Amino acid sequence: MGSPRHVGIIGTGRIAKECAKILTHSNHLQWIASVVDSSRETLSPDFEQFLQAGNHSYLVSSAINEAPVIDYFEGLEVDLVFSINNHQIIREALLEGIPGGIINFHNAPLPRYAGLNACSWAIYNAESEHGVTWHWVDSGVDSGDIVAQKMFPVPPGSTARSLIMLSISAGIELFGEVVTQCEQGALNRLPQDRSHRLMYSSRDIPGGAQVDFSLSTDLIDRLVRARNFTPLESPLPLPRASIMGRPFFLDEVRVADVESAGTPGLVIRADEVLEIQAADGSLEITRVRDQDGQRIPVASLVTDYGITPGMHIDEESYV
Amino acid sequence: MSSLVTNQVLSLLQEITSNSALSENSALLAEGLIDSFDIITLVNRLEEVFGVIIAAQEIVPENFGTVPDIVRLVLANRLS
Repeated sequence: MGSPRHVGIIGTGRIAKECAKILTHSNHLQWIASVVDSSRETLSPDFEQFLQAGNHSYLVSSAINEAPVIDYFEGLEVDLVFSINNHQIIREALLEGIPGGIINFHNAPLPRYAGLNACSWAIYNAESEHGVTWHWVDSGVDSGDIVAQKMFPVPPGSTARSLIMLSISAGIELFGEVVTQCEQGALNRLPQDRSHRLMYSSRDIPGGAQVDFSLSTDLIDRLVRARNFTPLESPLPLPRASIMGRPFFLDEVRVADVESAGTPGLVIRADEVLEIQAADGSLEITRVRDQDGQRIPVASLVTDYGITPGMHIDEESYV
Repeated sequence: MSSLVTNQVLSLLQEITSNSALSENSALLAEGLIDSFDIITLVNRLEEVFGVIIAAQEIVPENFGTVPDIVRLVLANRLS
């Protein structure tokens, strides 16, 4: 085996931190450079704090394709870069500056769920399994050859947020296999089967903006869970409904155990829970936001909006 | 009330991190004792245990630096 390969990381968050820790145990990969992606606000500075505490070399950048980052990697003769929870698109200039290539983490089982909001779409599409992929970066979007992939079951009741967290944990676990491949001499390059490619962009919203209570309870439950990122801000529009012309947003629903009948949109119960008739049963709305998007107790919504059983969700909100 | 909340917050933190050495004086973020995952888990538990709603805008590092920071966050939302 030759001398260690110089590797770098571009990324942020827990997954970048944990993968960096794995690299510190490698004899074959010498992790020497990091770029903290500052293009988005983070909950806590996990990765940067880890770099500071360990006195590791790093840059903070919201423009990873610009000269300072390219020059930084070139100056340290970085041969291979891992893009880990990096929200910036990698352009050709950066890619060309890394002789051994760039490997990216994607929280979906490519070629399915390329693009954005993969976990939300997996929930909306009622997938029983989800997965994560480490893949080579090429000029396309999440289209490069696969290095490693891992599938896992989607737990019942998963939300976008909980599935993202599961995916991150799976990605960290799988990174050990990527490092092992490096140490054994060759990283996989398994071409993606383009015939199975499924991609969503920022324009795509699982379930549309409005909640249509003439749909099944199962579908409404999935579209709400697909857009439930609480306690964090949702990158997707919140599922919206309105009553007496006043809009509100749904954060959490559950399918009611008891059978119910009535026209879709009928308010069956209105206290600390708001129970609404759907096509094949009723839904209990257990977490809501007011018209300003502020989370409030359901009981407050009921009182503030004057909601009582027998009322109907505004039809124009879903017709 | 504050000391009761402090004890409950500390207990939740120890449970989430599996670190019984965490204390009221620990510099949680500065010392890397909790990270973003722990904060999300903690917020969900705080909402369950204390019946509060913590807005996404309040989930910032300044509110999770120490146990007293978290206690202040809980109490502010209890009173509001």
